Amino acid sequence: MVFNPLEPSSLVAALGPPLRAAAKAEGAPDAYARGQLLSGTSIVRLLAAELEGRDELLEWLRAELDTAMAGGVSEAVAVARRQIEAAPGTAALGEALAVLLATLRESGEDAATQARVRAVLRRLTERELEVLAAPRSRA
Amino acid sequence: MRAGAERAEAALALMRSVGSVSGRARAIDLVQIEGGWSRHTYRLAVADPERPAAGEYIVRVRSAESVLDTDLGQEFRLYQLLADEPVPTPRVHGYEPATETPFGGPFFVMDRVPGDAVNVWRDRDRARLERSWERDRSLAADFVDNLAALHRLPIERFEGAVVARDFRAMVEHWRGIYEWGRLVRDPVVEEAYAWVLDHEPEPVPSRLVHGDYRIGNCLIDGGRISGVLDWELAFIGDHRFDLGYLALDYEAGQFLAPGSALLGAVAERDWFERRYGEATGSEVRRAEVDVFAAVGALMLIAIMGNGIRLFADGRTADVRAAWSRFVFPVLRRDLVRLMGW
Repeated sequence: MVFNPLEPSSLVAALGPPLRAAAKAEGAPDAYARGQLLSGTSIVRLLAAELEGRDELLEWLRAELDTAMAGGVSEAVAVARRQIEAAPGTAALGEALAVLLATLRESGEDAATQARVRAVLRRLTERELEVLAAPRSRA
Repeated sequence: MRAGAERAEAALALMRSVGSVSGRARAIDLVQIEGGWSRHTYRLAVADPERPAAGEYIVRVRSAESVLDTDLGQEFRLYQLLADEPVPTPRVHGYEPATETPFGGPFFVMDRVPGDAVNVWRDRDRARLERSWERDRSLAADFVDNLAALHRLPIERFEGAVVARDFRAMVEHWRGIYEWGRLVRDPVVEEAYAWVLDHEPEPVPSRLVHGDYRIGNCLIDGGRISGVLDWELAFIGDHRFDLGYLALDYEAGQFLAPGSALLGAVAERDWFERRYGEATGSEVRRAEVDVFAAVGALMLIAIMGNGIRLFADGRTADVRAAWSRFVFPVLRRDLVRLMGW
């Protein structure tokens, strides 16, 4: 969701070929074709959950990261904070965080901010799974 | 000749060339079955008047759209070398290395071993494994004993036939694949690579490592393990990788809901480690195993990321490659736990 590759549009497009193959098939699908269709149904379910929860999760993440970095003492933290605020999407977010954590690790500076950012990312892993597992609201 | 008939004939021709079936053998059926993501797998039914025992075989193919570039020839040679070893594996019947084949790539044929495979991410399969554990632990015993037997094999037999990687080479191998395939930089993954290199365990003598040892890569027949399959990630290196990989929550069936409390969905961890230690003479130290568990998670992310990249580039149409991006949060969860974040 946040640092996961493939945009939702690519996932939707991925459903086309197995559906077309199923529509054109003569007879029952073999195990491989069935597997493709089952993966497709799983993508539908998971993607729906992701799209429903993504905006709120990203808003939460930005706010938490800003709080975690507010007490930062190093220039790297200040730069990352600006980059995250301005990040147009998750790719830029991932880039900024990867660079920040590598810089803090290699320099050994600002251990407290490093720990706070890591704690946010730890909580993010749990929240992502909660979003994916959440029952869908039927609007 | 239709594609299916062409493929069946290609497999039969290979088997004839090594004397596994007679010139009068004919294919009755060839069906693609669901397999791993780097191999296409087919079940081939054969009737041979000169060999009444001829029956069903498996054809393993490395297709052009494999999600990971692994050496099918190595896999074949490994099966050959394991034929007389105390780890149950299917007998192989010839390897065709050409890339232009009716199967779309190189392939080899092997016996179809009786049994079925479980999927630890399915509730009913985890329940089946848990019932076996509660009942008599026979499956769990086979699972540990086969791993121990594998790790006790004399390494000299496999040198030159199987790639060798020490700890750093193994980590850098997967990091290279992650960096090639990544579409988005993942701060948790990148910190995890630094963490494992910073926590490199003291080296131990090299052994044959399965590389993807889990109950889903074993066949179960009558409550016992009849075959250990899927050796494409095998290498000569640190055997603790197989132990760490099994320790991932993901490999116990964790996805959106918790998986089994049993290690690898098969056995209580203490029991497993004690039995393994007694069988190999190698004490299992969890702090060391945790490092290899993290490497296992990084391996999976690298492989899936590679597949996703191929999918994004239009080089594979396998929908499972796209689906696998939903596994990343689960593996990240394993990583942050192991790193103690």
